Amino acid sequence: MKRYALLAALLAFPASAQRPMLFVSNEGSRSVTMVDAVTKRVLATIPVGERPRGIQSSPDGRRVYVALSDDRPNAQSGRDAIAVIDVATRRVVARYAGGTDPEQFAVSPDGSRLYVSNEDAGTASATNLRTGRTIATLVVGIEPEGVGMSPDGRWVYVTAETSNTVSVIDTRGNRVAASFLVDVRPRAVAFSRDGRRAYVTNEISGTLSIIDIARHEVIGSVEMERGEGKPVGVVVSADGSRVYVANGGASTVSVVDPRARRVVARIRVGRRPWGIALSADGRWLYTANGLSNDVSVVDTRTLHVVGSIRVGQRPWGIAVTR
Amino acid sequence: MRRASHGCAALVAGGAVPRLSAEPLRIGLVAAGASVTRGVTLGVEEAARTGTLFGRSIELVTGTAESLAGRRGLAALVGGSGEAPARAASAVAERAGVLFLNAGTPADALRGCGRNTFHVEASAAMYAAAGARAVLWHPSLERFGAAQLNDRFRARFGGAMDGPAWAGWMAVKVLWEASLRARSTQPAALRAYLARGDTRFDGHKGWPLSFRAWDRQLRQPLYRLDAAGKVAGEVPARGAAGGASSGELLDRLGAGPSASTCRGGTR
Repeated sequence: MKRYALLAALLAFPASAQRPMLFVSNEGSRSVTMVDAVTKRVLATIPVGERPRGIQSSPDGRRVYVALSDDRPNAQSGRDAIAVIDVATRRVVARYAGGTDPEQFAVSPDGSRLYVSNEDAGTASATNLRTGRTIATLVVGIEPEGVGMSPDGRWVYVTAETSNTVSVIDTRGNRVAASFLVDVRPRAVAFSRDGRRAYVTNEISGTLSIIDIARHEVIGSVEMERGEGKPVGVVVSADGSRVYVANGGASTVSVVDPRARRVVARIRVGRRPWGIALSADGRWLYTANGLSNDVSVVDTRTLHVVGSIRVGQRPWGIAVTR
Repeated sequence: MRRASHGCAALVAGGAVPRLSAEPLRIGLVAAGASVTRGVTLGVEEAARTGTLFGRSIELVTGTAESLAGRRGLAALVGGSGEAPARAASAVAERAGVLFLNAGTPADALRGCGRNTFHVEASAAMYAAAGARAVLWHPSLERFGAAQLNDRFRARFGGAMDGPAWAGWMAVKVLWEASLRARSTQPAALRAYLARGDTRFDGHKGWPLSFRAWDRQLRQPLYRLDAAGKVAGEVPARGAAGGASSGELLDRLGAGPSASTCRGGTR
């Protein structure tokens, strides 16, 4: 009886930002899967029309942004967009310009801007999230991919796969302030919450670059899976003591101690994990596994996989709302 | 001598720009067929673009191997479509103390000839080991940024990127990367970087690529085509590791360390 009452209560309230939700972009099925992070139940499959990749929550958890591109990598079309999903109604409510072939992006801490990499154009664009307008387009490296923003919103790092570079955008004035080399084929970038360190995964080197944000300089490199792991997704624990790296080629997550600059644990997850995210409290780690079409749920206390959630075809990225 | 200058010495603000030589990386295109020339051209244009981020530039010059090798500041010759011109370019490079990157000739007899000669084109032995219809590159490849590279090439030239075009592009890419990472345009510094055992280059093939110490041949996978000319598989097969590193797997293609293939050249 009690259980029914609870269920009735749950059904009475629409899914809202008050419950943590997972949003997974399914590159193959052109949809976004919405999952209740507590019950691990799939609540909705939201069609988005095009190939979705990068996915992020707004800071208030009410919206989810997802980068959409057409199938032909270098073909420009009106179908390239940043789609806006309203969490409460589980629908795409707007489509913003995100430049050509948008892939990954970062949302500013105040929720006002979005910086996105435009893979085919070799640029990064800034979008005003209030108006949906592109406010700047900047030349970065070749085949830009990962985008991360410092917690204070000052710096945006954009990796580029072909040129092995990170371009540093100063968001005051929206200009490229510096560039530096990392290892080979850099993919994703994540910042520590204290704003001192950034971490970049390098797919072909099989390494994680450790970057000092004050100097925009690489200060170390950690090899994972003997350099054969093809790391892509990366996320940092709130206290900065752990960096979790999704090794797409090894179907594992490497747990890196960034101070000791070494791998301290290895977790086997689903096949070809790319997207990776942490729950707001840091307790749960999620990976989007592109070849096994599921999300692995890892308990960060025990470093064991405690669940697997079936999603769409070729899951790519994952976002968690508060 | 035709001379095309690419890149600009853009001043990049901020303290994180590596202090690098202001000299352009000067590359000579030599005895290159149409595909290799296109690949080299794309490679130079992309390097120039990256160069603007670092205040560095690259310059492509054309001419005969002899005339180019005598140019002040020339770092490397790239090309060599055809065994005889490749052999000649290699000999000139060895004498002049510049590098030669072979992007056009599979002949085994050239492998291992001279410390300045590196082979981006696969060797005949590698092709033989990979099967009758093996290619270096294919315009239908998609993974690991291959689709992006194929599309950049198609957008630039209106045609498909074939093996020699990829080799030309890759030759410039490894030289440029060596120059940025070694912070030098000097042939000796570039040679040392290319010859390092722990280099890992990305050729959009998904494997970490490097040059073999014994014959300066680029370790890389090849692609088997079916009778219809479609890519039917990759050699070596991915995921067949069984504990072997990707370098060890790639070394199963072609001549091993004990083989001496250099004939008619300077070792």
